[in-house]
Amino acid sequence: MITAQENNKSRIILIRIVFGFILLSIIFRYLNNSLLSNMQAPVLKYPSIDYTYWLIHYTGLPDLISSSVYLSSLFDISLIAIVILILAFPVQRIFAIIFTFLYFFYFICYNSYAMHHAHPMAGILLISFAFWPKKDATFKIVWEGVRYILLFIYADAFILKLLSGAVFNPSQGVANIKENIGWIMLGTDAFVFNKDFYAFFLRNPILIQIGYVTTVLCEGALIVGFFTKRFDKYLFYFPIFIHMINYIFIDVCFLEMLVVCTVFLNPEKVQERLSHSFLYRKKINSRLSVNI
Amino acid sequence: MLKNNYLYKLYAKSKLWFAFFCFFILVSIFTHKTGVETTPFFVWGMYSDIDTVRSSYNILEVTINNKEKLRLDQTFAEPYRMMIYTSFDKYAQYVKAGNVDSLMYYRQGETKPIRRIQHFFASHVANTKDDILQYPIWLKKYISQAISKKVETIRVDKVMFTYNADGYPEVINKINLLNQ
Repeated sequence: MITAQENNKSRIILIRIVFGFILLSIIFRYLNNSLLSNMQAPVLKYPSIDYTYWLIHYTGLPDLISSSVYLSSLFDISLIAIVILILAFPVQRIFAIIFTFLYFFYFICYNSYAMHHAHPMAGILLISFAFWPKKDATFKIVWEGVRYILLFIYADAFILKLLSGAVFNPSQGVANIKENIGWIMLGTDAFVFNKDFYAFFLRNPILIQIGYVTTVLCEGALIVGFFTKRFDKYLFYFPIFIHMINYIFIDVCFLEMLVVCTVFLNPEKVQERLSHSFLYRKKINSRLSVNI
Repeated sequence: MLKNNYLYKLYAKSKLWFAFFCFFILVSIFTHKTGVETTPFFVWGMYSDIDTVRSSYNILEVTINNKEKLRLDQTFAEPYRMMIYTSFDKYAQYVKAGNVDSLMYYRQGETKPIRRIQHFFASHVANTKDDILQYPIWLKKYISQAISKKVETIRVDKVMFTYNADGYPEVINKINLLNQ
């Protein structure tokens, strides 16, 4: 029987894994000059036909914060500080709730000022809701709900490709690659994924199509997660494979989306593995020696 | 059977989260049906449309201070390069339309109350002519901060290219889009 204390431990482990990843993701955005304070008061925005963007821009807050050096810096510092606070005090759910609001605001601002409604940050946004519940039992069931939503994301991508007929289009893979690797092919040559690498695949389109269909089938394979959790340890690797292939062949970086893989982790097993790790044993040993 | 259902278990545990989850499902169905994406009810349709091999493709080439080409070929720098190329892409569209953001006229003149509300919000959040004219100055400032170098001049070209039989690119032409 799982006790309340063990439930709490599982939750803390998941919080630390998820928000550790999120902290790295925010640093990644800072290094990529994409936080609000990096944006240099952007003048154009793209709310598109998205009512959420309309409402948030109507308040004037995005322009107010992004146009001020102080306010944008304060916002970025708050975003980073809240993640650090979550890592330090994982049982204080108020920090997770504040994080969701701050990140949601950042999500809207970045997509508006980059003028493209990109989805890589959506995984972080969705998963952060899971840490809102007060009771551990509610957390457990909401976490399961987030797992279903994330299965839906990949199932949706698969079904839309199936319905549009894209997956049956024999030149879909080549067309996707040719469209997206322009900068790589005309840019500075890299060591591994260089012009020769891509030219080889373009000369062998059958390999590209096999890769494309395999990736789409991987998206479809996640549907199995709706019916059983037995394969979760394998499903964990599917988003990694899908986004790695997209990264290499379509020049699209969805690294932040990989946070969704955590929904397939078994926290009890992670805890067990951590307890066997070298660093953990070293920490325990040092504590024991201090006690002696 | 029903007791093993996730929604049933959720309802038993928390009515609030049950309502939240059902709301998410219903709005997601609506956004899929209408094709109008409303954050955070996303339609995960990236690369889902049928794509065909074209005879030529385009990329943007950004040159600063008359000689230095910006690197936009690094996939891991996606958030940074998107700030440049997707924003420039929209800017070019506005310029082509006479420095006008078409969102300004969304649902204009339509009489249904919902359309009038849509026009009200859209026209308020659309970019003005002044915003559009300021964009090249902002772009210089942004790049300057990103690469820690003063940007005196900026030139943006649309490079049209094709792939030869060996899979290598061949530039067809360059069209200048911005030179300031």
